[in-house]
Amino acid sequence: MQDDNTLIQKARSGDTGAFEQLLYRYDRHVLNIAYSFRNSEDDAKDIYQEVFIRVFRGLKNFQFRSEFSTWLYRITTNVCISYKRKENRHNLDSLDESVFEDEGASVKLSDLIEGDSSADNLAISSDYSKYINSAIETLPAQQKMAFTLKYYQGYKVKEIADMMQCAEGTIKRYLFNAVNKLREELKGIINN
Amino acid sequence: MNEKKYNELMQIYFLNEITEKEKIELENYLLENNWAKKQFEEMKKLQRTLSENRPAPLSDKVLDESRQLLLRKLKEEVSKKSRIVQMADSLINFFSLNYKYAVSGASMMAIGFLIGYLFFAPGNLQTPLKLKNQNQFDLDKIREGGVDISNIRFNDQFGESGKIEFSFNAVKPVTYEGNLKDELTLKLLAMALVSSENPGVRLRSLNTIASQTIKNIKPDIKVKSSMITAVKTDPNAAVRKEALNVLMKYPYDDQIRDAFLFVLQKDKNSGMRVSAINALADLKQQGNSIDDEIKNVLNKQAETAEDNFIRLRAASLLQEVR
Repeated sequence: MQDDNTLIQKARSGDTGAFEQLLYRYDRHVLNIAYSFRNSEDDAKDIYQEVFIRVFRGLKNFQFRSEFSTWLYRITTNVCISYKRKENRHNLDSLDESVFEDEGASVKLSDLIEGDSSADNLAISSDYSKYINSAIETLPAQQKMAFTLKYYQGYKVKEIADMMQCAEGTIKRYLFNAVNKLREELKGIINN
Repeated sequence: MNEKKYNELMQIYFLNEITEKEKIELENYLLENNWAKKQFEEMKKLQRTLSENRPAPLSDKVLDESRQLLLRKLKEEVSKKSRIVQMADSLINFFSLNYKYAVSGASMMAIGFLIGYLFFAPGNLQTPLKLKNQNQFDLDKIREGGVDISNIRFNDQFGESGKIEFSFNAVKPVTYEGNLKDELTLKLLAMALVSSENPGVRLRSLNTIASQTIKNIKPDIKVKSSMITAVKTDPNAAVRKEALNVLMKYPYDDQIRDAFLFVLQKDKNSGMRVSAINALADLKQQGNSIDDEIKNVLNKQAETAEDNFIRLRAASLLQEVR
């Protein structure tokens, strides 16, 4: 099996087969990161396309200063964080789209839960995950990315730091703040 | 302060990135602090909730669809490259990759050929001057200018039409086309006879002149002079012999006599010496006088000639004229 650098060199010289091999080697991870970050299949597909088109175009400038996978996941996290959902494509599953669209001015989900709904009602609706996902979406993008990579994809803090080009301490801070906020947001569910 | 520290330790614990030392410290803290223990349990529930909410990986079908769509897009991306961009890329690659070696090699060869041609090519890089009329240039002026006609080339066989075309290098390459009967043509041929290094060219010139020379024709002085020079000095015996034949057709005079006597005494080729003594014998038969100059040479040859035929022939001729 050819290593990544060999495939990159071949892809640079126009060997589309080599690029496909690189693609098949990593694209499942990219798609799942995108999906767990956006919690939307369509968004994940969009991000997948955007990531690999950027990789294809940028391959000629790849300097081999890092592993290809590191470079790829950096692009992935950047695309995820900067991703703007296409308008009018689908009705959002989220109960509270405004939470996503405007994080700073978002309404606290816990307020909604404690208002018209109780934990029992939520249980009856069997739709906890919607509220959990909505809570996660209230996180700032950087925290959400770190949270997704750690809790849903299982990467170590150091790996996440490489992907997001941050210090490990920064990633830990993102994670602490994210968990504290989710704990606060999901207090009603957790306590029941 | 402690609450914040242990809250973070709890989180690190659930992240599975806690060290043994931190773990022991956290466990001791939890054993001693009920409030902290409660916090830990809440955190545990949150972790369980989040874990249960972990999205399932997307199906292979979604992945395959994404791959197909991407590959189509990339194909379009490649085909979208305009022809101009592709040409530019080709040029850049051409000059930046392996081709540059081939190009530079070919360029060097071309430069080498050019330099070689400039150094060794006959004359300048000029179009040959094509002349058809003897009035178009003055042979004497060409000759006085140090013309080099050593590279005379016949462009055609000597045809029955009597036309001749040949090239030579003067100040610039010259191509001349004229009639064999033209005086200028014969002069050029005579020049070729004495200046060309190619014995084939000299012999061919001579043959051409001979074919146009009838008995007792009055020759051009320069042509005659070329014949005498050739018969005396040409290194090729065939050329000397042909020159001798031409001279025998010219009206007899002292110059021709001296040329024959020179050959008889000096030529290293015995055949030439025999031809010379026969030419003298022909002169006698033609009614020309055998003067003292000739008699002295014949006497000497009759006594000292290495070749028996020359000695006997010389003695015979002397007896005839006495």
